[in-house]
Amino acid sequence: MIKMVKFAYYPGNVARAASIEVEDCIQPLCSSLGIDLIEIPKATSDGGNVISQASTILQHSLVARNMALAESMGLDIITTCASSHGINCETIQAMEQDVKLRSKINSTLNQVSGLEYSCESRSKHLLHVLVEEIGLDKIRSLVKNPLDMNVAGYYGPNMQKEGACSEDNVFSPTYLEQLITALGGTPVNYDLKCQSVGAPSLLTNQTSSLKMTAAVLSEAKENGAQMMVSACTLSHSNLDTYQVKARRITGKDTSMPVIHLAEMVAFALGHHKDRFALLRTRALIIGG
Amino acid sequence: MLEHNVQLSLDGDFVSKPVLILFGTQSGNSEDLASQLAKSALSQGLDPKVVDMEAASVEQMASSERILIICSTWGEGDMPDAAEALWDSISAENAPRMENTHFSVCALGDTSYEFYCQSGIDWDTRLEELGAKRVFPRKDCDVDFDEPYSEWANGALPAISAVGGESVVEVSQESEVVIAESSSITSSTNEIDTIMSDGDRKLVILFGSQSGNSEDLAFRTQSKAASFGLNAEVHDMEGFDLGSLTDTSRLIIICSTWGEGDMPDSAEALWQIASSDKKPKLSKTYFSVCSLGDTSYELFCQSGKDWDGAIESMGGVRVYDRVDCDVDFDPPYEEWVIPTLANLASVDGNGEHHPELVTVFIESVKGTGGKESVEDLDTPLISRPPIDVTFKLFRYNPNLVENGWDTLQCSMPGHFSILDSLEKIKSEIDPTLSFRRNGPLSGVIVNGAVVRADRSRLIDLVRLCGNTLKIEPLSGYEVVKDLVVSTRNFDTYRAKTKPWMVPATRSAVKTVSGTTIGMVDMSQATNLHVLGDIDSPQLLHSFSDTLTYDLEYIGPALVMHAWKRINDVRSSEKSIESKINLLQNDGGAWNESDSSVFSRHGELGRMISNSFNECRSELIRKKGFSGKHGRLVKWYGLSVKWSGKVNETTLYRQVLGPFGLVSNLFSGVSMRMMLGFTRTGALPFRSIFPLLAPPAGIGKIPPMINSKVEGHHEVVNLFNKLDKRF
Repeated sequence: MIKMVKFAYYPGNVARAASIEVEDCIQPLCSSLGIDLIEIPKATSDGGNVISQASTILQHSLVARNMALAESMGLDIITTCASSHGINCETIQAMEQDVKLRSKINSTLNQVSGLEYSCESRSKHLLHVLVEEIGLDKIRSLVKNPLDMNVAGYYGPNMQKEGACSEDNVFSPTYLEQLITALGGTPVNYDLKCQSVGAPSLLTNQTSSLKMTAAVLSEAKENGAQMMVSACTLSHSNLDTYQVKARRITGKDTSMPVIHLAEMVAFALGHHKDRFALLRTRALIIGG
Repeated sequence: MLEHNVQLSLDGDFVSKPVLILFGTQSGNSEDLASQLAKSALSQGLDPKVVDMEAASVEQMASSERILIICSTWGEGDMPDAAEALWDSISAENAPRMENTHFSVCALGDTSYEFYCQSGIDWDTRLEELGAKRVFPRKDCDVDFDEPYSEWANGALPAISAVGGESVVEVSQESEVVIAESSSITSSTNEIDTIMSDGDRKLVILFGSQSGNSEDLAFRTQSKAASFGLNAEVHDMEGFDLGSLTDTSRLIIICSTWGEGDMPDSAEALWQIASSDKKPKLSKTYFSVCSLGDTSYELFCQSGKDWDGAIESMGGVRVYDRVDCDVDFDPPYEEWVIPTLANLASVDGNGEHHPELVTVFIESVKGTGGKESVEDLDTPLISRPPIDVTFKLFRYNPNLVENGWDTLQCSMPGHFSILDSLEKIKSEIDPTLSFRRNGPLSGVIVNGAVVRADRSRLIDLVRLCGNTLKIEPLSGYEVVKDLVVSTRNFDTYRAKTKPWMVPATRSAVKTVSGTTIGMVDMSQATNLHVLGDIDSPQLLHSFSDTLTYDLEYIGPALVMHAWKRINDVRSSEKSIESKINLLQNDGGAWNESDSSVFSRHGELGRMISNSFNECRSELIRKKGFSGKHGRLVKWYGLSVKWSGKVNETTLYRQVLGPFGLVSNLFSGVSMRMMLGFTRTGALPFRSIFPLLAPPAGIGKIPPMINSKVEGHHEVVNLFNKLDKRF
């Protein structure tokens, strides 16, 4: 019998909208690995680092409310989105360091929700949970469909900072590469795996954002990647949906399948075999 | 033990050989180098005279026994404007012969131009034609001129120093020289011993500091002064009694400039006295001034200049010229401090200056002196055992326009800095490797981390990044060669942002001593200090991932500087308005595609990231939710308030507008959204909604309307309590 670990599940801003495939995969993969995901029905958007541009305290309060809801359940939060995880960690850090801010946020939360966040419940990214809590040996033993491809991991900048990257290295992370290896794939190393693709500015600074996207994709491809896996659900939109536009703007070769972390793990563990077959076909034969 | 380059007359008196240093400059580089060369010449026992070619004459050249020329080339092989007249005179047919003149030329140029270093070549050729003797070959320097200049100076100075002078012993018979030196050393050493042990040796070091740099230099100077037998006292200008200087023989002033040529706050009161009728007479005081400033301001180093003039007007005697230091102040400070201390040390207990002992003092501290004493300031060097490191070094050859990576496996002491390591690689493996030494511009990127090469230890970086260190030049700048970048674009943008302080007329208060001063609220002052607590704007510039891809963007360092000015209560309303417009317009604060990347760079990065948010909030407050950025923030907030979730369809529609959506249709974006289900094998339709309002909900296109989260009223309450604009 698999020993279950419990987390409050925070899907982030897009996993139940434009990135619905994450939702299709997260439940079966967690079930296979003994991770019990508990819904937080009242959880809201974390502000996406956009609301903070008008009001930092409003974004902090939205995040603190989500964290307080998880805390009231006695659980840590797990998310598959690096941006959401990074945003959660920033609020936790700010509330831990600034007593006045913490007091103000909790006072407001108390009035609107009857909640307070004491900074006990933490935010965890799926990648960190897989490597540190589930363990690569266990994951390796459960692989049913090895990836058998050259896979480039994309971390993005949001979870690659102190306090958000867990035990992984801030500047030279390796968790994704270790996981890809455990799932039977060949990790591709490339310089820009932590560079931003400008996701928060996709609609406002589109040219810069797509140039950044094209640089990441083309560099991964030049280093032999057949496929990219993104640890950030938000950045996935740039890397996947906008890759044709990024190619048109820059003239770089950006054509490559890009999937979410949750999809990669679910496929390797034997879920959605049809989708994995389609993906492999696309990566190995059709390309982009 | 003295070195052989000290020239001594037969009777043991110190004799300086005059050398004419001529510079022809267009952008100021030749002038800077001429100034550096003059200081180096002093240590060679030479008496340098630096003259702009604009002010020099052919006759002056012909009568000079030693000439060193530093000249840049302008446009298509032209002389700098200031050198044109002299060149016309010397290239004339009736130009005087120069058989008695010895010379060497350092030519500055740019290999991207056809006539590289032509002006220098012309001077070199013409002087030879006129019979002058070249004592050291001409050096042609590209835009990265530091290194070739140093090579030239290190060769040309001893060569020109060895030239003639009837009253000076020729260094032809080593034994004689040694004997002469030996007797003179004894004589000079005795005099130094006498001076150092006789009478008052007090040195007063006054600092006026805003950010702490002047204070730091004051204590460093105090520590160095011990090597010269001086008892240095360091005083903050704040609360200092200027009258107490009347009995002081030796004075050093180190002062920074704040805002538009203003004194630091702590120096303001003392300055009021110094510039009033109450100022004391300082006729017994020998002094020198080190002035800190920033060339991007109009009144560069003004405070130091003011003090320099004021002390002189009080009767003080300047023993060594003031040095004006830019933000990278270490190199000019280091060049200034030793001769200054040597001059002040040469003032005896009776207040008499002995210039003949200056060089002897300088020589006497070589090797051990002139450094801060270990007990006082230096952190003891903790030796670390060697560690195996694989360096991957970025290389760029501007001549071939080729770049690539060198991989070197080395064993280096763990306490080595990146700079130490690069120096070792350069000296032992590859002399062609180029990098900057010391200061903010020594910055490099090591495995993605922006660091100063002179301050980052290998052992720490290996702990942080592993044993393979990938070293590349700072991003966001043009690479000149290997790890050397040009800050030209940064400087151009910096100038365009008009970074200087334009002060407002403010109410002031009178202090107990009757001085009128402006006040700043403590919390505002603290906030300003936090915003300004940036070690290197040039390195901060590299924190952004966007800069490489957006050439319009002025970068985070300049955004932060403008934001600081906006927060400064001393700024005028008009200048604040212009800064707001600067940040709101193209190239400003909204051009940063992802300000969360700054947080990767530790505490400073977090502060910058937070300040970016505050800055953008202020822009929205002032300008409303205007433009794409404003609309994104507004509709993001509104969609979250309406349902607790982000509605991407709303954002696309409101931010991009109809044209943007059409653009997505034709650029493949909409198609990829709709075909998302074929690419990932997901369901084509998620609900009945797409059938009612196609194409919403097809493939990866998100629904137009979100269902609300549970307890949605709490979200509405939260918004209403904290920000009613949504």
